[in-house]
Amino acid sequence: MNESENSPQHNEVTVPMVEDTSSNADIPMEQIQREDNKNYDKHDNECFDMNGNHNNNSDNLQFDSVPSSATKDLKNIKSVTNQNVKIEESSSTNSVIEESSEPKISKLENVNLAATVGGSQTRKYLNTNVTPHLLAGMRLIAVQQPEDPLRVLGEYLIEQSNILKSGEKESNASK
Amino acid sequence: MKLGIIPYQEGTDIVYKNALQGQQEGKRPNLPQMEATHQIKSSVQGTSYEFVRTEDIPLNRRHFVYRPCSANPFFTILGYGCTEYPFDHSGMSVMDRSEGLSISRDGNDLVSVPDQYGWRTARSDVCIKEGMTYWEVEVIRGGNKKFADGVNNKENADDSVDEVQSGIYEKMHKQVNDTPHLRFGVCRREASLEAPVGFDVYGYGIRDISLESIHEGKLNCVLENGSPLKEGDKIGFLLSLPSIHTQIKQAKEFTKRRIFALNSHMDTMNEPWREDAENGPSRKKLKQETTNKEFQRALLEDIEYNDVVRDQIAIRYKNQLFFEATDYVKTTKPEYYSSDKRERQDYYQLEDSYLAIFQNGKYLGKAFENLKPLLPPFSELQYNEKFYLGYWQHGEARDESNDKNTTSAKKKKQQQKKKKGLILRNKYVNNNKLGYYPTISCFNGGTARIISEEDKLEYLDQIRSAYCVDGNSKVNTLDTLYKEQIAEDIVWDIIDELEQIALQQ
Repeated sequence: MNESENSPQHNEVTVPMVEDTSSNADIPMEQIQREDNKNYDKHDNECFDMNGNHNNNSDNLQFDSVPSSATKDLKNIKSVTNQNVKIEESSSTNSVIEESSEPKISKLENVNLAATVGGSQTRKYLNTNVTPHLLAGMRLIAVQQPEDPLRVLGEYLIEQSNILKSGEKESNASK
Repeated sequence: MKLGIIPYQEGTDIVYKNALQGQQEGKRPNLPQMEATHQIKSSVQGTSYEFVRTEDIPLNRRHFVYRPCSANPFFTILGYGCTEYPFDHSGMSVMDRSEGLSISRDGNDLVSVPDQYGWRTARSDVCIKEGMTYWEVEVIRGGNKKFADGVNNKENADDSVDEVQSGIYEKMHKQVNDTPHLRFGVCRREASLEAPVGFDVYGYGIRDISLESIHEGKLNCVLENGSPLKEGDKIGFLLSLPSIHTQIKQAKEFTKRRIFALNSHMDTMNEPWREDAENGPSRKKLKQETTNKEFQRALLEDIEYNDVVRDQIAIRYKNQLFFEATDYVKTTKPEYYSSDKRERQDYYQLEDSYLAIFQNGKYLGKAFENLKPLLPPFSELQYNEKFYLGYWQHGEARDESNDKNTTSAKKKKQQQKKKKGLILRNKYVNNNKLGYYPTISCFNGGTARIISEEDKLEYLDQIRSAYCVDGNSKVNTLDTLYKEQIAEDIVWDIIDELEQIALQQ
């Protein structure tokens, strides 16, 4: 049997949709959440934890479409739910942002990316040797947007390769 | 990080350079907790396999797809990147399988079901998109047991006639109940994992006894009549697909035909519109239906064939990190038709595509030719049609502030004009997982092993010498495609991060 599902359009269903949106804007959100709940009722009980996370998904969608006045409310709600104090700090003053950026940089240097991500041997090899430099190079050409981006990226990677080699030489000399 | 991204757990999510040696060298992410289901003893090879099932990971079902992810502090906006379980080689996916199907405790290449279990299916973690790919499946348990049947017949010959007939019937019944079975083949993402491969239009399967081909649930005998499968046999699969460029060209043509069909359908609606111009409710219905057609056309026109949109969200489930995303669903039947059949999906086929079958290196024939195409709009994601249609119509999901100001109707109309027609999310996108997956289905204790590495493929050199004669074509293995897939994941992770940075500015 062909499993393709037939989904005819019911005019009676679509007309109230328009009326509802014109009168009350909250109803679409409720409908969406209800539909999401319906999807999750089919899951096992163990997967019930997904419910909250999926609401985050719908929150993301709403966040993109909500006007700027409501954005602040959403920020407050999310910061409370996530208990992410860093976001509140970063949104308060510029000096705090400057202070918080320094620890992140030092932390990045200490991070063992290959061990953190894990995965197969191929991924470890790429994360050890290539990914951080490729990411930095892509950021560079994304910001500068040179006329010849491939050459700039290639030269950047060659430069990084030379820096790594010189670093190895220095460490060998110290031994 | 971006709002809505879950925060790190410093103690467990990130490994630092000055951490303990064991933590640095440990394999991550941790394999899921497993519960033993059954054991199988191989009489030919003399080894014993223990099979387990996973307890604490989500599986891909109900149109959701999960994959392991990990924290990545270098991604300052998105925070997380793709990863996979640290198996030595590619094999069957741990999450892209049915719950009742068990995997080997110490690897990812063996799949099995306990006795008395019905059909369960698992997909490989390798997605074949183009070119020629060869892999093998080794039968551990499955197929015919002719020798046992012969022995039973001989033993029963000594009894009386009535007892002989009764005994034969009982033993045949027992044999049918005890026989394990397998099906192998390829399937797309839409195929069900709770049914054998080839059960629907999204899969192509081979039976294990007489190697019939199954597609859309229909049997076909197209292969040479090889000997029945037995333990230790290796079935070789050579899948050939056209290039991505050819597939995209075909998808564009299909999109054009569908848009044309939508326009034709709108033309036929103009006449009723004129007839009922004075009738209010009828006019409203027609206008609404027209808007739906316009939305469908806008989705088709918005397709980006060369882009990859993954749209995945990092979640924490039982103290493990996963990416959650929506999966592709069985295509709904369009409600419009024109006189041109090229506007229908079933008209299209991938040119020069086939799945060839080998039994212990011997070519049996092409089980399937002209496979179905799979790039959007031939595949579509799970989609909340009403929500995105409403957004496309009105520009904002919430326009509460505009409703209050009734005096500024002109401004409201201007705002709606500006924002109308925005597609918040399209269902016709490619998330880099569209392709054909090697698939194994097991029944009543059936057990099989997938072989993906070049050095373990017994007949690969023979295949390559036969199919790479012109020097241009190339036969890939699953392991090679797997490594390329990992590199693609890393590149798309970086691109997603850079796109988010650009959006924030």
